[in-house]
Amino acid sequence: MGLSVSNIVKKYGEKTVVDDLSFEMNEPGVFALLGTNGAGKTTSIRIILGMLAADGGEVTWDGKKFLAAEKPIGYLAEERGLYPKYKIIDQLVYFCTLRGMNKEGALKALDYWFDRLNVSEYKTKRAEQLSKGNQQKIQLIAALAPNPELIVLDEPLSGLDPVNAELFKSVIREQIKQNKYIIMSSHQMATIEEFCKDIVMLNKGKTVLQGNLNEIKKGYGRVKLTVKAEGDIRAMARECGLTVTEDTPNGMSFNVQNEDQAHKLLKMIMDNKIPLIKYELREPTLNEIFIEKAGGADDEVRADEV
Amino acid sequence: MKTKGWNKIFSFTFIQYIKTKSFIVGTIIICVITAAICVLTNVLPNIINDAEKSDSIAVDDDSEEGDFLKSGTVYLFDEANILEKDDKDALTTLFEDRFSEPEKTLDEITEELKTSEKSEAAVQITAHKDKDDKIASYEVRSYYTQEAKQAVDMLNSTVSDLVNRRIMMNAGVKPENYEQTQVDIYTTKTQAGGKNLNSVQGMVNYVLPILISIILFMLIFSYGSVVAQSIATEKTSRVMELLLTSVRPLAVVIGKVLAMGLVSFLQFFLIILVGGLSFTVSAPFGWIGQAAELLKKPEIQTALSQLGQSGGMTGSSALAGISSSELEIAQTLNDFTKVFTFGNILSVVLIFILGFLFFSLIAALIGASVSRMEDLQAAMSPYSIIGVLGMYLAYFPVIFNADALANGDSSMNPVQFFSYFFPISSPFSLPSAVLLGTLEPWKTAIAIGVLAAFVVLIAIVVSKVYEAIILHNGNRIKFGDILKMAARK
Repeated sequence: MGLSVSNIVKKYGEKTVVDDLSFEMNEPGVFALLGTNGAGKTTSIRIILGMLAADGGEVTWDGKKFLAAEKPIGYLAEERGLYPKYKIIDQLVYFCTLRGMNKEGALKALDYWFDRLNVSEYKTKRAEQLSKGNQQKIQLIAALAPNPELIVLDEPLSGLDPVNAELFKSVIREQIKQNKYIIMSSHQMATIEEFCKDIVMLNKGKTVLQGNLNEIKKGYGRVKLTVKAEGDIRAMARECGLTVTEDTPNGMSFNVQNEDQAHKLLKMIMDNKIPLIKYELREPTLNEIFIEKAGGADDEVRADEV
Repeated sequence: MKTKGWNKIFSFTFIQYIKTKSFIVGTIIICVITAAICVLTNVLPNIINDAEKSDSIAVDDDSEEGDFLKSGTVYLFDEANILEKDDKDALTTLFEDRFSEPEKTLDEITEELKTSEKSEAAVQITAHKDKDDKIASYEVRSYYTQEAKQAVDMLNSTVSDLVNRRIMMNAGVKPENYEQTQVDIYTTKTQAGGKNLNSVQGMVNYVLPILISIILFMLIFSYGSVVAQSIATEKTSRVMELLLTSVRPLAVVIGKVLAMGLVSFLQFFLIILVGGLSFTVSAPFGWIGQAAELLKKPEIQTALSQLGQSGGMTGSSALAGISSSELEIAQTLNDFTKVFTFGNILSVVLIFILGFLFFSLIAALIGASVSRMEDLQAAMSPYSIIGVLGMYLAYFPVIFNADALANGDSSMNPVQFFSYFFPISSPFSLPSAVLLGTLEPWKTAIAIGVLAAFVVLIAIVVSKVYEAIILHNGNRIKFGDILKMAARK
């Protein structure tokens, strides 16, 4: 059951910013909502969270209409917001009580999270006195303190230093272990690959790729070949029907049609006794898939079609 | 429920706002100014009256005039030859050997007075004749030293009384009948069908609407602006997105508007409370206290009830032992206490609430229409124009019509009448009309109804478009676009 988004549509005047978006989260885990800037991710999140009314489609939770205001939701928005002049503890208690907690329960939960994210010393400070990273931690606390079942993280790691990024990741891993439903939107594909099982990729409001990330990658097959050798292999690659896509000190990269092309090139290198340093035949990374799909293609491509 | 959670928004907004330095400092300043105005209003007239009181020769021995009678020197130059021996004897009795008709000329005496450090004055009586060589008027002129400055009016008045007395005698009035001619005669005017007001009531009649319109403008208009600023801050700082995961936009508007309404009402209540306390504390030192004391006197109560029956001040001077000015003050206070009926207070509170809702809902829409704080000022221009226009519609008809209002003129200025029914001005003008009874109750009810209808209309617009504009980012949405959006929905 879980969260189901069915055929949601949002138009601003003549422009359709979300066009027939559908996906399901039938079990806890992390779901990725990907797309270029202006692809419709934030609008989709706002519709899912009930901030915006959709022009079509529906969002359900366990088969019933999903009313965000009636269910504690954790939301870390892409563009962060805190009251600059108010004390951190006052505004966090306020946000928690808005999500149905009583004051005592909120204070207890907040104490845990202040300690967990190492920001106890900023409790009574005003938000404007905190660094950007610490403000981000405070907003993560606002999202997680009510112990929500559904968490939406929009660019959770942007702007964080490596230490704090790791701290955030450890918190996300904890939430996954606690069987939370997490929707994550990010341009950091490595982070998505680290956490997400399923993805949906939007381009200009339309879904261009959707499904289980491993299956998507498997669907592509091992089509990325990188070779580093101590001699010139360009002629051999041409003979195998391969074109160099990238030539760096780490080696040459090729897109292969099938694995036979790669094996043929390897055999030729070995036959010519050219010392081989690196030979890697792999599935495309999510970053490569993203650039391919969101970089121009408008056609919907589903995992089972690739 | 679109409004679920408004109470949490309300309590947080209210508590956080009253904790801000700007509110605390602002409230203290307003309370201090209110207290100062109230105390001065109460005490100052008495101080001025005391300073100007010089129309009686029955002076207190401790006063400046008393000092002058004891030690001042008076030189009389009766160039009109009006005063006779009896009159001069009266002056001799009053000033003993310090009164004289010197052999020196007036010029010589005034020259001496220039350098004198004593309390001295020279009084010159001259007669002015018309073309038929008949006396048209007398003039009593005093030349005085710095020391005699405080008592010179009393001296002029005393000599004038003697001249007047002598004119009466010369015309055949017997000395024993003279006192009967010295009855005060006050003139008043009342338009047929108008109110019969004394001078203090007349003053209240035009000062009160001005004061109330200014105070209400400050409270309603300025706190409406705070609502706009608060919503714009939440929107531009992206706090709004966090709020909207828990509550609907309409709940945010309702919570904020009501919270700022309560802040505004609290400040209004504080102004009234501080004003009341200031009047109470300063009462013994001013006219309020005098009036309150007078109201306790049975003869004043009798006089007031007679006034109520006869409908005017014309008969009041006949009431032995009570001066007209005392009666005016007592009558004003008596009437003023009757203003605060349950119905009137309820009406004023209702108008205040409706007025606040009218302006703050408009302000909320404007606050939600901007995506950057620097756009807010430009966006608020229509709001400012509406508010200031409303204030002027309430204020200027009173200023331009002050004389008529002071005289209880029943014919109302058409602009003033219009201001009671026009929703941008009625929140500022209607409360004083209720308190002063300017409008008949049924007209007041219609005016409140018109205001309420507009509030409902704006609330409908807000409920239709607020959700759409609160998350809009980019160019500012113009007010006209908001109305078009509402019409489409």
